[in-house]
Amino acid sequence: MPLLEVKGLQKSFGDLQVLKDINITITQGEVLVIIGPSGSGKSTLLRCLNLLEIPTGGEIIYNGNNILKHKFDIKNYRQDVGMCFQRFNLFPFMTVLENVTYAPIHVLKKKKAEAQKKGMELLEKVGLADKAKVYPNTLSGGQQQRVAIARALAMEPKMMLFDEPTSALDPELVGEVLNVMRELANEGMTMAVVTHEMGFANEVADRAIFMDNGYVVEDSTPTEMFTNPKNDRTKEFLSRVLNK
Amino acid sequence: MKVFENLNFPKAIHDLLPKLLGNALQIVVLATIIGFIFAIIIGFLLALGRVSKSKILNRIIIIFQEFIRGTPLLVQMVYIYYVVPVFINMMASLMGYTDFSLNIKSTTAGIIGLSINYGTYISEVIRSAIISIDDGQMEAALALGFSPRQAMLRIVIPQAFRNSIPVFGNYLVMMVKDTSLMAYITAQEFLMTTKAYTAQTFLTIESYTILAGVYLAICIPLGLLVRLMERKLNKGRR
Repeated sequence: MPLLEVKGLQKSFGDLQVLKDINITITQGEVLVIIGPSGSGKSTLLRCLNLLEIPTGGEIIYNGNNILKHKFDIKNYRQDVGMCFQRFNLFPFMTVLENVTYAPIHVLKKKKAEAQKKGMELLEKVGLADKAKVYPNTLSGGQQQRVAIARALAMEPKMMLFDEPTSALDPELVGEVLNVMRELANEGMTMAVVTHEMGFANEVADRAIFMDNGYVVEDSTPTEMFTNPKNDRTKEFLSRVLNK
Repeated sequence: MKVFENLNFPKAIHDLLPKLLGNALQIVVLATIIGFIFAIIIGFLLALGRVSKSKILNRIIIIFQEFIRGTPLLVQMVYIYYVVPVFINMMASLMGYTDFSLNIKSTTAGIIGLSINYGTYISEVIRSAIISIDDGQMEAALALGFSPRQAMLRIVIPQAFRNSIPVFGNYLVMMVKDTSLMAYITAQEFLMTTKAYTAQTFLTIESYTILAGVYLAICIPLGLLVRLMERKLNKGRR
């Protein structure tokens, strides 16, 4: 059974229809990358998966439940689905460790000591244990994004969403973030990643979807998509991105 | 110049200054502290109402704000001191409590006036501070499983509050000076005390000069303190 199933998803902002008819499934442990030109609806799709945008049509089935149903426990669902943003969105008035432990303490009601222990483990994992006591503004973009990943993981999510996690980074800082993501993927985390990092997509992803103009126009393995794209639009996009 | 030859500063200082620094100072400090605390509470509540999704609440608060901002603080104080008790007593007698008689103290009326008036202005400071916090903060909190309300109270508001503190400081200094309006409703603060003294002694120039000096002696250090705090707060940021 798929962990997440999206059926006929639509999203409009006023007259502008950004998502027209999206159908995808994500199975447990799968790494899905979402690629496509800007304005194709990639980020909107990802934000719909976390209900930061409320879809205007269609269904999202998580573990057999339609999350768009009235009265569905959105809070609980969001605890299951971690998210990392392009701009990191760390809480600037908290230290790195406080950023990581804040939601476990106040949402999951964990004991402080327990949350801190887990928080330090996660910071260790993303290679930033020595920065636990500093404020986010003293960190580089790459470090901030790694803290953001640790913060999301602290909620022990079943699935992680990444919204262009490396797009706001200096090129030399991209690698450190991708390494952490790669490690996560290897551990079996279910991930949906909107990215422009084609090398990463090719290497780490189990599946790739190409979006254009509010539709998923191609859905296959990354190898297949990068070496032998079926759709003309995909071909055009990839040739431009890969041979720059 | 004859006026200056007749000045008697030693006497004025000797008589008036103890009065100012005694009872009058107590009233000013009390009014400022209590007034300011309530102003922040009122401002905070009004701001929360203004960023809430309720259209009716928004409407009501905007109308209230227009009333307060469209009338002078002095008039508001007079209204609270002279008119409001009459209304309340009238209502009470209409409801059958004939022996009920509310008598509001001048200092209390002054503090209420200061709280409401400053609360209204401060609410706009807090509101714009809330709006200026990046949407990403709210989204990050939601994504971590906080409810919209928790995200607002735990993540957005603390940052907005912090960003507003320098402006609060300026309002605090202004409020110290605006306590002088309470003289008009007979509160024995600095201005009223000085006025009473000049009426007895005719040491007008001396008295009002001392009065101005006392305000300066409070407001300049307070202003410096505010700026110091501002600099300290700015240090740990972006």
